[in-house]
Amino acid sequence: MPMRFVLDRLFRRERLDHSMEEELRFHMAERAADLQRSGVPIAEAERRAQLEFGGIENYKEQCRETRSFHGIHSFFADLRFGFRMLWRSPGFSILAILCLTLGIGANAAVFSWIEGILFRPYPAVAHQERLFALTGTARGDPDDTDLSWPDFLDLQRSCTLVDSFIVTKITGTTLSIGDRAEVTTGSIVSANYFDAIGVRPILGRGFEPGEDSGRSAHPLTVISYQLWQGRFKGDPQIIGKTQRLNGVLHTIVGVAPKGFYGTFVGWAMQFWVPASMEEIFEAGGYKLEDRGARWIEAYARLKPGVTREQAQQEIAAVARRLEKDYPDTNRGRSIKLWPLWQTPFNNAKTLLSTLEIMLAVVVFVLLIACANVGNLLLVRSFARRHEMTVRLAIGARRGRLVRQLVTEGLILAAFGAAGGLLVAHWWRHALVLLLPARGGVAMHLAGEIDWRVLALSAGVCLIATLLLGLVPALQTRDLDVAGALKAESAGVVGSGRRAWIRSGLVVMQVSLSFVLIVGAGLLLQSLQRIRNSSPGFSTHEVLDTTVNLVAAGYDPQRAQNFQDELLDRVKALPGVESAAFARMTPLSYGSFSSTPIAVDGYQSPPDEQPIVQYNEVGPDYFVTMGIPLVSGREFSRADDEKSVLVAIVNETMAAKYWGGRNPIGERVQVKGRWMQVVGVAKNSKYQSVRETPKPFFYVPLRQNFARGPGLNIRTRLSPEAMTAALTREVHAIDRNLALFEVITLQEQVDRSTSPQLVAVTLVGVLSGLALLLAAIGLYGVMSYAVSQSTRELGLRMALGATPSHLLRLVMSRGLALTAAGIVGGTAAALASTRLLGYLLYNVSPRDPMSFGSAFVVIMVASLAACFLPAWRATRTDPLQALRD
Amino acid sequence: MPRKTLRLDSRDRNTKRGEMTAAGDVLISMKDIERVFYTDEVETHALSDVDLEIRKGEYVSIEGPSGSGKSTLLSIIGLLDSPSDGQYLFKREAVETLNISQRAVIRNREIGFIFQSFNLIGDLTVYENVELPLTYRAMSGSERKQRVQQALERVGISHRTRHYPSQLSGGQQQRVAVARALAGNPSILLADEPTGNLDSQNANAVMELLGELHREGATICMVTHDPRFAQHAERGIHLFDGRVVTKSEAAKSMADSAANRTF
Amino acid sequence: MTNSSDILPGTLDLLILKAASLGSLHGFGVMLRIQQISRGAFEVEQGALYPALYRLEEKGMLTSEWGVSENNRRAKYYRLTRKGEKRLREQTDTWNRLASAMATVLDARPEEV
Repeated sequence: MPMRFVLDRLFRRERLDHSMEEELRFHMAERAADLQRSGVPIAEAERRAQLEFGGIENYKEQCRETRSFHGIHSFFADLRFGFRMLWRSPGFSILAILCLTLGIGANAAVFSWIEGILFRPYPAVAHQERLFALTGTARGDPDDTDLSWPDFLDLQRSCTLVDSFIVTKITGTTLSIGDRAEVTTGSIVSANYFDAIGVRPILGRGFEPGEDSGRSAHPLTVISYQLWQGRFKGDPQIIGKTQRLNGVLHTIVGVAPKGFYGTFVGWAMQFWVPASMEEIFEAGGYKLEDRGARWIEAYARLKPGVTREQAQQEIAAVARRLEKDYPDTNRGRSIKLWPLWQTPFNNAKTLLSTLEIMLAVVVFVLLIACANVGNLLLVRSFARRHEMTVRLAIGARRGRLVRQLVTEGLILAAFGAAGGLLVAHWWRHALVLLLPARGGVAMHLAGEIDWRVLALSAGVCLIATLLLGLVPALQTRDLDVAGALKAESAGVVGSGRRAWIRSGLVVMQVSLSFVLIVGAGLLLQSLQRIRNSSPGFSTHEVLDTTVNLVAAGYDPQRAQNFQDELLDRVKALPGVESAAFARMTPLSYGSFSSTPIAVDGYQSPPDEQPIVQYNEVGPDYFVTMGIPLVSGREFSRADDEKSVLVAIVNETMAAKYWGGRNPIGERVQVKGRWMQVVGVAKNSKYQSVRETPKPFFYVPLRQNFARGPGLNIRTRLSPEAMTAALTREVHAIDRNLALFEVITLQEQVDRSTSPQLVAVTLVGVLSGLALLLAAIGLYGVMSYAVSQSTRELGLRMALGATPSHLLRLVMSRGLALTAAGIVGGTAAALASTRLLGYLLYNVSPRDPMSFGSAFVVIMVASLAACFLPAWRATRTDPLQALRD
Repeated sequence: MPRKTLRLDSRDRNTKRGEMTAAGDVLISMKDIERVFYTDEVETHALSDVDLEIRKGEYVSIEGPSGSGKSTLLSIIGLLDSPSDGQYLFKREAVETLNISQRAVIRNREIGFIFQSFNLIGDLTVYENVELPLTYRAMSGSERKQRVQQALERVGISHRTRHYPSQLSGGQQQRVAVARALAGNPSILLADEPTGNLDSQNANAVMELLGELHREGATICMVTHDPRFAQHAERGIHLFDGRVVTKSEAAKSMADSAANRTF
Repeated sequence: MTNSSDILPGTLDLLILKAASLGSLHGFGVMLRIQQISRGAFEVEQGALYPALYRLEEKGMLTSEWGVSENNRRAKYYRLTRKGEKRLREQTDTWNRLASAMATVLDARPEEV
């Protein structure tokens, strides 16, 4: 029915009512006239006509109900009445709406994070639903790898189901503009980047075809809007100007639009350079023609209507062809497509499991909030018992009554949803706050409230309404018109007034809170264990910093001289025990070098290319890091360019490739060069504290030089104390060099475990909230129970119960509910904490510590919640109570 | 007047606080009792200048029209309420100085209440209702059980111990309430219109029961406005407008006020 | 005489449609017509007629307009629509089939089994 018609009819309702009245009157008048004609006196005729007609109001109601607009009309009437009822008890309404705001707000916030971080993480990027992440896989290696540039070009040429492949590789530089130098994050991208993702620079242009080829041939950059505004003061003449990046002058060709942060979940990119400039920004040399150098992170934008499976098949076929054509580099390799929310190479993957857990947690919070509001509604429906009974008595049908109550639930839920969306809006940047800062890197992790989030929240609101409506519906079923008009059996006090619904709701709340607190406890323990677990190197007494020589434009020879000199100076500093350079700091963001290896006497399984990661480290590295050597020696200054190539392997590598034999003195082939094994080091953690032991080896920095290495210093001094001294030494050699932040390796460990921290914080906060809501629920039920049983309490006092008896009585009733909730919660937690899976570290999902603490926390909270009602019970005036 | 002490259970050490009360001793003694209620700055004198003495083994009725202060007086006797002025000695001890808990202990051990509206707890069985006052004492389970059984047998309802109050008739409910009052073996039973909610047959039965208890030695103080039941008592105290009057005065006052109402 | 509650469900609608098919009628007239054509076998409770009339109108079986009655009072007249005619035909067929089937069943004698 068209809306205009509906409204039209609505406004005509009065007239319709009027005409119905007239029609029915006419009928009775005719009948009376008939009767009169047959000789009945006029008064008697009218009386009989009315009698024969039956209940006129009843029939009118039935007539109205036949009208299709009737439903809408009565809905508006219900709405109006609902508003009036809520307005009349503002305390109730505000409490209920607050509870729902929390419940729905938590849901909306998590929805908006999932939307803005996992599903559509890249603002301003078109058609993200067709965007998929791309990584390499290697047989026998559970971790995914990056892709090589030649492989990428082959994919681009061969795949027909994919609109475009784009490369983005995160990189950094120290940006010096004026006298301010700042660490800045950017991306190395393929030339089609901006066109493929549909982002148009607001000034200048993106990159043009061909600008991503030719060794360092196109020193161009597109800068972000923030960088343009912040560092270049919004200079309208910026296009064509140059900026030194990593020592090379780049021409600024474009400014990206506001609100575009690049395509890396978590970080805001500030500049983009074409892949042709790779060598300037990436350690490890020129890699654009090396199929074995895997360094790029890529996305594929599928053609419309193509599924991931179809595209995956085509890409796998290309990978198989590459495997055949280039067995040296590609044996055992394939290429895999990932949905954006599983992107392995940015924060999406680390936040995925946290947000999954959050989704469950907020459903719990919503249930608890709904139970609270349900309880409030229930209490109020007792207060409204009389109104309800009268409505039933005058002929309202039960369905009608339930609809009225559900409408009130809908009003509450709608207000709650509106408040919830506000909460979600305020909290959309909260995740950034939880992730640790990384020396000046701009973070971007924002929730997104779009129509999908709105629709989901509306869905939640509807579910909440139904849950709320359930309670009064159960209630009206129990309404007994005749019974309610009778007084309660006079001689009996405190008989069970169907308190089981309210008690049941509270038990459920306590159970759910218990599960959440157990979960929070487990995550907290995991976090502690993960942070206290030994990564295989010293964490507290080793500091880590970086001097970015690439960014300063040092050539390898100059860099090497600088490093030698700095190392001598640092070692001479008071409090420094030892110091060593290394290309990569373990557990930091970045990738270790990796290489196919060959070992005398080791036959790898067919189809599998043994690929091992390694680190380039300086003399004294193992002493400095505190990684023990099992046998052999560590690198010294003598292991230089002129001497024999050497390597140190870890225990797992020794066991895997040399079986039981001692590898010392044996040979290993790395990137075509044979190296002699001179030592075996104990295993340690390399990329993640959670990883399982894997083969790994070390080579001397001098024999495999890299310019941008980290400096590790063993000292008992604090990072703050060392920063000044280090800066002084660096400046003594070159005034133009800047020191990157000085942190302990423990800080490095902590940063690498930030997803756990996020999970702990969020689950902790929400379980606290849940506990608060449950405590309010328990408090409400106990208060109500006390207020309803004043007579019983008064009687007990008359019979000689002392205040402490009554205190114990009420407390024990409250604690009985809590106990039931804990029993339920324990069962539910035992069944569900396994779902924390990945987030748990060295903690059993049934960890007695966590269960025990949850028990204590819940008990304390319920003692607190019950105390006030119990105390109030002791203030009962027996005389008053028995008289009423 | 028959005056004798009957101890339902001589093993009860708690009740008498080690002190034996001789037959005929004064149990309750009130002098110049005033009770004033203040509502909306209006003073209402519910009781004025009330002197009262109840001895061990007596059966006293407090009579008077509604609003005459009967229930207020009974509440004060029962330590549910305190007088605004005057002296109240319970077993020769002043009660004004007692705190809430001490009063509760006296109510529990010395006083058995029987209410007009029975006041049984619907969630508890008959047995548990009777047991209720005993649960507030340090008493062994077996002794408690014995006491409850005795009390229920005494009122003739021991076959219904597992029932809930709502499953009993009004008369039976009031018997349970009497059993509850007896179970604590109190010094005095206070009955507030015990027959008010009963039909005449049940009412008679309950009055009969109280009479028997009295003959067995119980001290009873009963409020009633029904002269038929007041006759069961040995002595009547008549209240009118919060004052104790003689029976003839009471009759006259009644007539006066009736006359005032009529004209 | 049978009162409305004894009428099979749905039968009242059919009776009304039939009555209205014989000419435009107001509510009271519908009642009289039903009494007349059923020779008094059915007598609906008078008020119950109106919800049925309204329902049929809402379904588009009847259409109504205000007119003037025989004794010069404003009255609402109901007329069968085309949809109503069709429904009446269908319902009549169904009813006749059912009635003859029921009659056959109820006429069955022991010797026929």
